[in-house]
Amino acid sequence: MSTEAASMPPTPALACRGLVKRYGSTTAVAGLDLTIAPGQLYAFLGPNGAGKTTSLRMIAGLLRPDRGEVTILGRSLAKDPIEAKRPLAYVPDDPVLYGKLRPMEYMEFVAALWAMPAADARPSAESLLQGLGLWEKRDAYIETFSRGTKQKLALAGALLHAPRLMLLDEPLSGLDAAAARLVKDLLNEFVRAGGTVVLTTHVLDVAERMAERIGILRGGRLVAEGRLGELCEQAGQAGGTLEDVFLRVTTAEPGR
Amino acid sequence: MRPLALQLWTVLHNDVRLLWRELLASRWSLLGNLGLIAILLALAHALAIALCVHAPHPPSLHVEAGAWLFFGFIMLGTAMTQATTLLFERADFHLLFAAPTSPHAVLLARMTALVAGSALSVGLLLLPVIDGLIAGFGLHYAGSYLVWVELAGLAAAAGVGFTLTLVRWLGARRARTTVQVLGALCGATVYLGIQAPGFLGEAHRPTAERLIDQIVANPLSLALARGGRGDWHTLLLLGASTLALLAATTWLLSRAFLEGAQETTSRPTRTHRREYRHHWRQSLAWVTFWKDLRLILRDPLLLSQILPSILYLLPALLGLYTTLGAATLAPLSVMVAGQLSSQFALVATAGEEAWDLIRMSPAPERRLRLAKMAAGMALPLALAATLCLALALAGRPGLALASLGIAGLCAAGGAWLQISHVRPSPRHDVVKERLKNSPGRLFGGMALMASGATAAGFYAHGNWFGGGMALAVCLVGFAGILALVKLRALVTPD
Repeated sequence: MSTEAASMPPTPALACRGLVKRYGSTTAVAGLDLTIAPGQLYAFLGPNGAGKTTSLRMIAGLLRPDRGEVTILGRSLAKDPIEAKRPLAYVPDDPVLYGKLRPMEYMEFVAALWAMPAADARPSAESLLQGLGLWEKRDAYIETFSRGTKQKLALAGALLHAPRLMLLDEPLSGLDAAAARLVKDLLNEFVRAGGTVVLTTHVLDVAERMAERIGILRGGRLVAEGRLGELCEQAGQAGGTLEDVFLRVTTAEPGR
Repeated sequence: MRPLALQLWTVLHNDVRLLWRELLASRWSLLGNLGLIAILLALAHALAIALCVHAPHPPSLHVEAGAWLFFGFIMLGTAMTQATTLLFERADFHLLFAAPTSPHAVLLARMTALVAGSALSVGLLLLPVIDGLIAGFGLHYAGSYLVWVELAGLAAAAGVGFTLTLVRWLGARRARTTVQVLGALCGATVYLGIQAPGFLGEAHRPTAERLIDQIVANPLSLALARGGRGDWHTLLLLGASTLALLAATTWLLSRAFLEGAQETTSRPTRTHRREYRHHWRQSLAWVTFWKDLRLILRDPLLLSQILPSILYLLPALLGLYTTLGAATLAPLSVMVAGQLSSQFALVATAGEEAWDLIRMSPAPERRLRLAKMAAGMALPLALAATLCLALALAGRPGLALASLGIAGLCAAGGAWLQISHVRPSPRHDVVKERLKNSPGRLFGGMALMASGATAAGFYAHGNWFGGGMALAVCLVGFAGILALVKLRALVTPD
């Protein structure tokens, strides 16, 4: 029995089946199929309007798909939304935080949303604010923060309830070099500890260095998917860079 | 640099195009509103024309001067409240001021919009009056159309001049808040002034009427009245004065405008020297309640938009004061609780800034909305409790307790109506757009508040039967709201 259990594949951190989203006559996402195993950092790439953010928002439960299903750690987002959302965190590209709250008040609200016990939440919040260099700003209103500082606070809020799957839309935009390095280290550590990250980025270098697997979206379809080496082979660019693959896949005539 | 007129045209053309597309985007509600306005205008025209045609003689110059003063105050109030939006809350300043565009041209374009906005704010009342005067007493009253536009120009120049002078003294953020309150006061002054002789009592009425007569007989109002009767010299003089005032405001205050826009489009730099000790709570309901209450109390601009709405209750309450004396506090506490709870609950729900965070969390939305409702009711009920405490100290403790209970009922009913159906809007637009977004719920809350205030008023007067009947209506209304209005899912853009 135990041998049988050990040989079973682990429950995917994220599984999407035939996700479709249309806005009027425009199809933003046209049948996305995706399975991501736990402990991976997955990067979504694609030109502007490819459907990256729409896909992430459907996975986060913020947009209702017209068709298809999302499963998070084995729980269906449509059938069991509360339990499916419990291990999930999402940071949009331009996070909306409460301008007239202080960082600890924001963290307290996030902890309450995920029903964290105060005894665990408070030390975690303090530790995250210290780790992300926000402790000195703990008495200031969030409206006085720069974009990068707000981005770091949103990330601290996302990490507070110890999620197992993080969805990050352009997590490094607006960050200076030191802050970007800090965030990258933090994400790598999160993945090493068994967490799963799905991020979108326009910085191919970030995807190339950090992601275990990469998916390239174009016109709402996943046109290439796999490890970097596999992508190069799929695109006939063996030994090439991710940039070569990206340009080839996203600028090729449809059908080729 | 291009000529000023060309720059002005570029900015104005863009503003008008954006406004037009915004109107077209909500064309059905626009058509509905236009239909309603057309019906009201037709009715008002029929009434005004009938009155003027059958009147034996035209109104005296003093009456007309008083009317122009009335409309002038309303336009000034509108100009002041709109000035804060047009001068400091537009998103295009980054583009306009980064381009080689003169601040004079931008300010002139914004003032042109203010002139139009101020003129339209009294259109529904003024247009039938002018047309009635023309129909009844002759075409020379067509001069009133010109006076209308000139007065709107004067109001816009005065509103902008006052706002920008305050910006110089107080800084843009404080000026914005102050002007919101003063603009509402300016509008309310007119209503209070007109009703003053009524509620001051017989002894003071002649003094009040003499005072109003003196205020009305100032050279500007008399000139407006003469212009309205078609006196071309006066019309030309008024036109030249309006243009001169608009030009002077533009040239003298464009620097204050630029600095104010720069200050409000940058993020605040306020520092907090005092160390803040945060008491961490765990319950979702408590945390949400305190979060929303803090967001309301820490936002002076929002408070300045909502709290002055109490001013419009004053004329009715001052009228009641002549009969009820200190017991007027009873209906006042009910009105304050009902009116403000509805608005603050709307701000806490529709104006929630991070619905995405809430919707992607596993938190139960019903509990969250109830906590938001409680946060919306907290400040109004605190105000109502203060009024009831004053009433108790004035020797009516029983009435104070009953009023507080009715106030709680009206506050809960009004707030429930607002949290039941949430359509997210930008926080500072929620209050302005509430009539458009939820007219049925707004009027439902007002009806509940009116029945509650009537009950409190009857009790204050010692009429137990009347009070009981009104309270029964209020209770049935409250039960009906809870039974019929269910919490509906959040209306999201997708």
